[in-house]
Amino acid sequence: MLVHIISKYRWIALGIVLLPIVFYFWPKTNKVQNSSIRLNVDLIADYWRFGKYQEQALQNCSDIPLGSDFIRCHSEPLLCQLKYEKKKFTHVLHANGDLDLKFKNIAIRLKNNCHRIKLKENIYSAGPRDYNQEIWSNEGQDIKIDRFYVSTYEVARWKNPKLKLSYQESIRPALSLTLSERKRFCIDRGGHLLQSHVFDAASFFPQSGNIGLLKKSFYPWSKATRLQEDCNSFVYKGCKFDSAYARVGVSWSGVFHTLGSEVEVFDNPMKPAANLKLSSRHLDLKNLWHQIGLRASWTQDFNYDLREQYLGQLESDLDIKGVAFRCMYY
Amino acid sequence: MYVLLISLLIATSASAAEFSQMLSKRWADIRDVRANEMLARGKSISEPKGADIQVLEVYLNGANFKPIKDCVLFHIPSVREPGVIYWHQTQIDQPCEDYILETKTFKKEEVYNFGFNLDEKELVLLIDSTRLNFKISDNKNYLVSSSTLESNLDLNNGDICYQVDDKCKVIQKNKCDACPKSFLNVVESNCFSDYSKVCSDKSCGEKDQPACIRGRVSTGYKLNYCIPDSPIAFCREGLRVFCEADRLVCK
Repeated sequence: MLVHIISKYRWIALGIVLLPIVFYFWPKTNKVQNSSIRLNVDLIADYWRFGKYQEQALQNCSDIPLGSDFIRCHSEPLLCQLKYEKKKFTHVLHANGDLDLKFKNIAIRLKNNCHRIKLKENIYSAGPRDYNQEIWSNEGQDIKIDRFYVSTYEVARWKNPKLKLSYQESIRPALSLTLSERKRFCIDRGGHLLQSHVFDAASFFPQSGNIGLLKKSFYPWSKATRLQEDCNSFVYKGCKFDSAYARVGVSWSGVFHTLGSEVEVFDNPMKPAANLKLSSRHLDLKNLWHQIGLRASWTQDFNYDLREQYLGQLESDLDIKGVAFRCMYY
Repeated sequence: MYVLLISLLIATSASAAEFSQMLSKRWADIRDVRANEMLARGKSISEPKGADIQVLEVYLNGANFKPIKDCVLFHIPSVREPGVIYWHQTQIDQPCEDYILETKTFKKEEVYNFGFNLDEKELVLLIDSTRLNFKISDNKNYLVSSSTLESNLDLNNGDICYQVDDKCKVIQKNKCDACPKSFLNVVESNCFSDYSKVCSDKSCGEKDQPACIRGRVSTGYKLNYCIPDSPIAFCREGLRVFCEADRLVCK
């Protein structure tokens, strides 16, 4: 009887014996990137980069509005979120804005690079529309530019990491550092004060053909020769302006404040005296300085030369009370 | 007998999973991998039998987020004994050969077949019937470290932190985040599409600093870069481009 049953079901019995052996020796792939460690780190990095925090986590903890650009790469809301999730960790906020988080078995360094944009590789021409003597190209250089002005919060953090500012104070453009302080700020952040020809490259609307023979665009948003006369396009005299993170004066490259907003200073290695953009909220809509590429000069503290430095066809009597700046990175 | 066999298999599998988990934590963020050039990829390392060899150098983030490395060594199995893979974490300038035969560390014993595959994006370890895949990170948004070892890499201003040769081959991977503060692109090869980088807290184009780059595409210049007044770079007013020690600088 037993022999009969074994004989009848011998293939099933053999299968039961062999199945675990085959399963054991089947080639296994352990996708390490799918491990729980990586998922948690990715989640934290996403909070840092995109600022999509839980509303309850920020209540009574941070006054930074959800959805604002300022919330990205900012330590305060992330720490609120992690505390809300009852995570155990220590943290160090570096002067350059990088944030180190140390958990029990793992440490993360979140890089402060949410507001940078890479300059597309191309041939560019610096200086005003009718000036074609500064042609350069950035192939292989990997240049990144701050999309917004350096803010009061960033300067305050650089000087004193423990200083607490309200949201409204924090987002104002930093206007009062000396020229050398600005250079030092950008170096400490791992970059350099934005160069004038790089800013022009990010501002002039791209054209095809021989760049030496081309007429460059007047405005950063298109080849159009008409100014967009509204405060949502760029900030001129009479427009409300109080945030370094305002999405105005945008160029094709994604850099903001390329026209209007604040007077801005650059480093100009091609023509050092031509380092100041005057197009700003202090000038009337019809003022001729509201064009890309025009530069006045700021060489020492309070020593401004407000003649246009490339073509010399414009002057200004602007009373400069503050100058914005931003950084670039290789 | 059957129950015994199944139990044995489950026990062995558990230890393999544990090992894989430990290694995945240790290698959560690989910066770079260099393999022993003498070893064929994708094949089991079987010669010379009974010898100990260096297989891989795996570059990781130290506790201070500067680079350290894991030396991966292998005692090749012989008729007498099975193989052992062993790891030593150390500074990047320490030769891995120093750790050969020092097996009192993180290790996996009873290994009969060990090989690896490597490309720019992934390292695959082939350990007996198991494949372990590790991504080589190019994530510039965050760094991960599970090590307690602090890197002693200390770059100074003027040190090269990324280097390419005339054929655009990367000679030194990017470690510019170990610079004291900032860094600059420098022209010091005939590569058209990439530039070496040097730690610096000065701007380009200043006296005794690297010249600023005007580019080859814009100038159409295709000859050797290393000449006085090289058109592919420029300096500030009053300074000239010179080629010193194969680098374009301003004087």
